[in-house]
Amino acid sequence: MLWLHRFGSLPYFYRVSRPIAIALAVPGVLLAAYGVYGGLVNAPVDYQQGDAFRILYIHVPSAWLSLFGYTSMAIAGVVALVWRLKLAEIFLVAAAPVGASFTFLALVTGAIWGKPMWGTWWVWDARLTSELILLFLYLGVIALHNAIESPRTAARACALLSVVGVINVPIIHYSVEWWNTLHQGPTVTRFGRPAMEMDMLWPLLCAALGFTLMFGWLTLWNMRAQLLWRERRSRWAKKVFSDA
Amino acid sequence: MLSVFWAVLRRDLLLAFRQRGVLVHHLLFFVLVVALFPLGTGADAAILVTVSPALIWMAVLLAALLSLQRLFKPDYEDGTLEQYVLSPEPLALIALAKVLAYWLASGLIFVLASPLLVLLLGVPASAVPVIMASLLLGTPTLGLVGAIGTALTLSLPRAGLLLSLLIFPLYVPILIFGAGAMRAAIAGLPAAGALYLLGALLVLGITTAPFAIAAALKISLE
Amino acid sequence: MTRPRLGIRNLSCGRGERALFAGLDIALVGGEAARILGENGAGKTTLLRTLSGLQQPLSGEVIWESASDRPADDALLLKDELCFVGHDNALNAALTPVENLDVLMRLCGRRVPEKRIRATLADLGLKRLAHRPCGRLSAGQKRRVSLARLWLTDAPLWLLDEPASALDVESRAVLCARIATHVSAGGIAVFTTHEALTLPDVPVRSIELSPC
Repeated sequence: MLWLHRFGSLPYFYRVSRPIAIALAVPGVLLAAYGVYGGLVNAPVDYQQGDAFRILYIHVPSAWLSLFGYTSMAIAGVVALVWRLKLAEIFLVAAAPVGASFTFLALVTGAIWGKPMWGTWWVWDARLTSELILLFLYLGVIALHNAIESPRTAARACALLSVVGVINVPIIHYSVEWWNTLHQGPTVTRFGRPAMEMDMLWPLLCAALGFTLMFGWLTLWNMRAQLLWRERRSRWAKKVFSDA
Repeated sequence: MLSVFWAVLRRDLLLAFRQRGVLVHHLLFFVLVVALFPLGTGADAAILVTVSPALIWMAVLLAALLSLQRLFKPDYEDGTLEQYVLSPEPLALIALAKVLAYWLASGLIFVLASPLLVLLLGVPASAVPVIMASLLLGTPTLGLVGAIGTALTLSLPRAGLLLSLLIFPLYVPILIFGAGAMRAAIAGLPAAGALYLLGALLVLGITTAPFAIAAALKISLE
Repeated sequence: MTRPRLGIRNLSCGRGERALFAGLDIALVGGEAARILGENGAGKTTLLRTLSGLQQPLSGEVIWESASDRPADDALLLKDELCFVGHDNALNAALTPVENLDVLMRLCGRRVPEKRIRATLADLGLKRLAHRPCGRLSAGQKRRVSLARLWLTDAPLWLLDEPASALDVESRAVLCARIATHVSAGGIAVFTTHEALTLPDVPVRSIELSPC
């Protein structure tokens, strides 16, 4: 509890977040680079999809982080609403653009993957459509945050919105799936999911872990910026400015 | 506790009645969107029947978006909202009464107007009951979910576009099941599944949305 | 008879992140009124909103001790015993004074018969306006309708934000008399005002807000 309390202190957080961010960034970038390299270059060619499948080494980690990011925002949202913890508010505000970027990356890579698979850039496939709506959910949080002037109110409003959103994510996903199976029919080929070879799976796991660490790093870095802006009138923040 | 629910419901219905011109505008908006559509697509009956579920539901969504903006705004501007929040009665209950009054004065009217419009689009009369049922089950949920969005954007002077960005993604399931039920009915297929799902969403909305609306109102007032 | 008590301990309030005032300490007991003093923007309205619970303080606390024997941790206690007349009148323009007051009293958890609302409006010289939409009343008339709540409520704690704004001299005297009666009957009234409000025979304490 004491630890939590100390961590709740904003200057303390600002001080320790820098080494933590670096500790996340270095292995994150290395793992992601190893995973992506292993996937793009080393992994054997897929007997069904040829080389096109290789984009999965970016697509899957991004899609995972788009969900992970939104869920973590909602958890932080509950903490912010119930315990009024300022750091939770700052986290969810800072995570939104990072999560939105990964969601966008997942969409773009999905479209690139779709081109050789389906012959067209965009297919109203259930998973891609859900991902698109998830992007809109992210953009809603970001837009709401930008629209409300008072940072406290903005963060609390975003907290509530992300909690409402996260309850809706599975419902949206299920409804899109329902819609897709009902009206698209079996014309859309789904990706077969045969058991992956170890030398294909291993780089993917590395890339996923690396991307996740990078998510932490970028979010933490954004948190530091948000924190400084919100506390710009306080004594400790002014000292940070004068030291810089 | 219920006395305050009825009091707020009665008050808002009375207000809706006194300002019935606004209701007529919403209805006209709904009718106009649907009526202008064939002018864009051409009068091909087959096309109109095919797009009618999407068209009706998009018109309902847009009309909901426009009307929802005024749900809490007058109370926010004249200070009544402070009295809601300070009331010893549960704010969620007051919010539920307001959404119910809003739905009776706008959603229900869309439900009642829909048969005329879908027949205008050439939809077979046998599909009308299902279409009305889907709107009856779907439009209250639109109000409940949309009220969360309006409550969050209450302090902003022009929230219209932002509101659409906040609530349209949340409307996806209602749109899918609502239009899905309509489409099944037009094709002569059973639509019960989609209607059950709409009903489930409505139950979920009634039991959870009022609390989210209450929390959002408090945040906006703080 | 026990008296209600409003305790303010080391209270800091602000708009957004910025503190408007800090370290406010005061205790009011039943039979006392308090006037909040301070320049424009000193946080007078913010203090009233914080006392009412509409807004959270940045730090410190507000304690309401009821004269009733309900437990002090009852979350509804303050809301039940509060009459808050805000800066805005809380009157809907399309509803009549009688309809507006009926709903406002029900929101406070008090059911007042319509006859009594009409009688009160008549006592306040608003009889002719009782069934006219509030949108057609003048600013002063609206304020008087809104203040009619003070004659209908039995709440011990009154928080009044500029109650006398837009009132003429005569109505102001009526208002002062009402506040004085409430306070001398053991109630508490906290108010802000630009106009001079003299409460006859009642101790009025000052809460000075100085910018920090």
